[in-house]
Amino acid sequence: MSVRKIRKQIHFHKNQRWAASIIILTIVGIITHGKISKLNHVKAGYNNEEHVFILKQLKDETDSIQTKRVREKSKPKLTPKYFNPNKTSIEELTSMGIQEKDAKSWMKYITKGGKFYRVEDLKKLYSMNDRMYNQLKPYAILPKEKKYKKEKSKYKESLTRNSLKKSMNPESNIYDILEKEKLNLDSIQYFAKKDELFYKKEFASRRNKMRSGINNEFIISINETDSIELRTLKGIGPVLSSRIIKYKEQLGGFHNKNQLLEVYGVKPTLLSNILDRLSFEGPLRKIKINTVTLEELVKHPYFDYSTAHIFINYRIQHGDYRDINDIKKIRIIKDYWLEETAPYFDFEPSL
Amino acid sequence: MIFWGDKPFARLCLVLICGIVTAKYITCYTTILYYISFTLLLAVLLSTFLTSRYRDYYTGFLLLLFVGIGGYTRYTMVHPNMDKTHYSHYKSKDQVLISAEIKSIPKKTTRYSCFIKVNAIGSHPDSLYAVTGKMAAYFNLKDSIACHYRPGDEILVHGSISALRHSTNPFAFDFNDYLKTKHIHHRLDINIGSHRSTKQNLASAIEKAANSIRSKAIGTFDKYLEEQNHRSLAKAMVLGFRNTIDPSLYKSYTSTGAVHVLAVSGLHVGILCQIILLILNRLFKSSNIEKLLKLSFLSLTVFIYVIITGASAAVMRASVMVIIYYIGKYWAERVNKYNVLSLAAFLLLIYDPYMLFQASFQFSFLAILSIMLFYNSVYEWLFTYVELRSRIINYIWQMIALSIAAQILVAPLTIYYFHKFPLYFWLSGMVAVPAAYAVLVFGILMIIMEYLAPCLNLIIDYILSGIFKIFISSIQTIERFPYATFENLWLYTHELVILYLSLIFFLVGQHAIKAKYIILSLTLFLLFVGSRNYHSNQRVNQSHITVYENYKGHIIDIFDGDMCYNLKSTSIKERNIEFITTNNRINKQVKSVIDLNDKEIYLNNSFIKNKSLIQFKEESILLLDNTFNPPDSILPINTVIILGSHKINIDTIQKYINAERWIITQSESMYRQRKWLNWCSKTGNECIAINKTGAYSIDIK
Repeated sequence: MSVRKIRKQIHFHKNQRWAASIIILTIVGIITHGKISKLNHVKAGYNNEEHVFILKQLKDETDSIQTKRVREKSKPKLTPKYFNPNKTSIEELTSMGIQEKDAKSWMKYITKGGKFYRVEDLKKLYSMNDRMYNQLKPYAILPKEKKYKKEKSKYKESLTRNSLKKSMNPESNIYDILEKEKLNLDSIQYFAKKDELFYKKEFASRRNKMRSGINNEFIISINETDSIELRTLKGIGPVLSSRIIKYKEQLGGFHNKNQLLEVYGVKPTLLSNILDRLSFEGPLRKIKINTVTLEELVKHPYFDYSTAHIFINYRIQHGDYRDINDIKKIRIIKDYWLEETAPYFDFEPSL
Repeated sequence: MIFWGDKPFARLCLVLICGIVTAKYITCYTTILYYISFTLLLAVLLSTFLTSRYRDYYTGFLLLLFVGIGGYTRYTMVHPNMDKTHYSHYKSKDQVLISAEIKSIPKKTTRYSCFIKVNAIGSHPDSLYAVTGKMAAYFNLKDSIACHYRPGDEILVHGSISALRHSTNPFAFDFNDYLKTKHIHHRLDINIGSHRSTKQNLASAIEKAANSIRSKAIGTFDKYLEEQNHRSLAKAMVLGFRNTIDPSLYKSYTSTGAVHVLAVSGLHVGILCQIILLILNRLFKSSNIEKLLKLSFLSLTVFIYVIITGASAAVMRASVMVIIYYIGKYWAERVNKYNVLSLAAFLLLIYDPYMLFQASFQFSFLAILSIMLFYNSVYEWLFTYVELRSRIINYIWQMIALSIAAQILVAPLTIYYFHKFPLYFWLSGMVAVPAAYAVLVFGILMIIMEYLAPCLNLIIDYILSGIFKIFISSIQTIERFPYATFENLWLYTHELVILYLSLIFFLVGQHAIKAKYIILSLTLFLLFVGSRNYHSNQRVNQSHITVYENYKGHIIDIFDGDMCYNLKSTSIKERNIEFITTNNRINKQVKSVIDLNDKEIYLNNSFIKNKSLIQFKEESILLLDNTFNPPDSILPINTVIILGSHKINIDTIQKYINAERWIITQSESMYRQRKWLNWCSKTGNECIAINKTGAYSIDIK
């Protein structure tokens, strides 16, 4: 680019320079004025007393909510163990992490005659909050009181000790330790649960295995089953199983899992839980579409009177249905309905 | 080269834009800039008085330098870092007490949101500082008080302030970036009960009057227009109030390229000025005082209209242009339209340099520039082949030529921002522009008649309803034409720049009648075509995995050529998924999206999904969710994506899985995300928490 061309680009003649300078000066003046007034506004500070008072109130209100939340979070987590709320002691409570003053108020409640009959009764305590309650709830043991309580409890105790002794690992010395310490029933249970050598787990799992003879992985063929087999599925009782069987009889069988949702009482959540135990294979009772009468067709749950009428009339006018494409020619029939109903059709020609 | 003689502000505006763009990408927050700018200004003023042969040149040079550096300084000046009165310098904690003024009507989405102007801030009531600045305030959706706030209301708040974070999802619209162009850098979250109204309205008298006129006008439309669509269109086209437009109707307008009439813009200001001048020219003659009165009245009306309609960039641009144009027309020998446009841009950018990066500003100025540059050529082109004698056909051709001329410079920007282009813009323009005229005239008449003669509004309502019926049905008919919209178009930033440079050199070459500029223009165009081809080739065999950021769960896209396999949480709405993923999919030119959520097993050429395991080319991916069953032996995996609700013990996971990288999505609970991160730092595994790092992409070879 030549010098002459460069000069052309930067040349402003007198009027243009003056006009541009005046406009720019005005703009700079306005901007500077704006900046200065902003700075003055900031320097003046904020002195509205009424607003300060309202903001103080707002702050106090929101701070108290916040403090409560923080207090709850900052409380140390409890380390509970199995205990009887009616027969506990301050030492036992404090060893679980409960504050001494809360433990004292607990004991005061008991000494004044207060009693816990159910775990929910723990909430009666003034110092009990939701967080503490949720942590203590699984560990609070409240044996049921009955008339012959004493006798039974001894029997129960001995039964438990004996059964514990029998089911414990002979090589373990835990039982000796438990006997030596003369611990009460609840503590034994607590130790028993914690002890790795104590194979109550295995005992329990074997117990559980032998408790039921039902194969929970057995796949039930929905079209060949009866209501008794259906009742073994989780969430299906006698009423629902009989409804399913009745609907199956009316339909002629299920070919699709979604058809089960047409049974009153079968919800999507129930269906999703039992789906992996069900199989939809198996024969369907077919409708001989070329020979069926109107009365017979109307009995099928998918056919109302108008639909059945249309089918019969079309057959009379156009002859037998050879395959599904012939039915698709009936334009008034919905596609998705036909998809669901198609497996039930038998296209055997009439004589 | 370009002759700048009659358009001095064009040069100054270009230099100012260069200064602002430089400031955006090379920021330097220092007060030295003020001193440099001030020194240059002094130099310019002093040099004006010097007598020298080359005075015109070096004064011009200093002026250009001052404007460039001034633009840079102005951009940094309005940034909170440099503005010492901004509230960000006074907040010491996240929990703050604020006295503020509501600046917009609270909008209901997932929360009530509005903009507020901060007047005072502090962490304690006894230590409040008077400040300036704007914030985005978010109220709880169940807050029955917040929804009744109106612009101008003064409120006192105890809330939680946080800086706006950029969106990390690739190519997704960044709302927070958009807010920053409006000088909003923080958000304030306000709980129920943490705010009070002082029952005072801080709006100025003009703002109050404008708000009052606006709400009464809205009330008038609600009273007379029966159909909801008619009401929403009237409010949008006359008052710029677009909150109530039906989304499907809005989509029809965007698909046909008529959406510009729904936003109050230069077209509306032009129509308003024509109406006012029609009246004023009959009342006043042409003496200097009468000209001054006409100009004052016009300026006042335009100013009030700007305030009522929310002062968008397009309206401000048109208002400034109109006023400058009529000043020139009444008192100057001749008015150069490019100079007027440049001066309007110059003044607006000095007022708010961030406007340069707002799409509405870019579209508004480019459209007018395009019409100025190309309208005559396009209009006269037809006369070289046909002689138009009929006035109606001439009028129709004028409308079409106007639309085509406007689109020449605007089309690349439309594709860049919206990734679509409406083919029938010329046809919709023929319907939309006359409709805008009619709606504005009758709409304003309806508002005025409500005070003077309400009975006439029944007739106006009948006319307006008829206009809306024809308008809406025409646009919806055009939308149904074949190939009404070309969608899924993608333009990179460098391609856009190359395209515009090519256009500029073509124009320069045509104007200067020099072949070298035409050749340069063609070269740049070839470069553009080459870039398009290169990117298309890249996409043919592309293999990417993108894990998007969304606080409600996980969204994963696996790109294989032009196919996309998608996995997502069921808790995320389709609309949100579209918002996050659409632009990235358009960038990758995806033709089909396959939803893998319902598919336990899926097979394709290079993609196999079998329950939790995916084999994608050389990459093996494990989706860790509730369907995963620990295998008998250790599984060697490239990438594990943790989807949440699994029952795996984190501490023993290495017994089952040996992976190179672990991606923790936001479907996993916060507690478990922390556990995973702790485990990763202990074991030395590479862990990517989407919550912290943002969206994550993997290139598969």
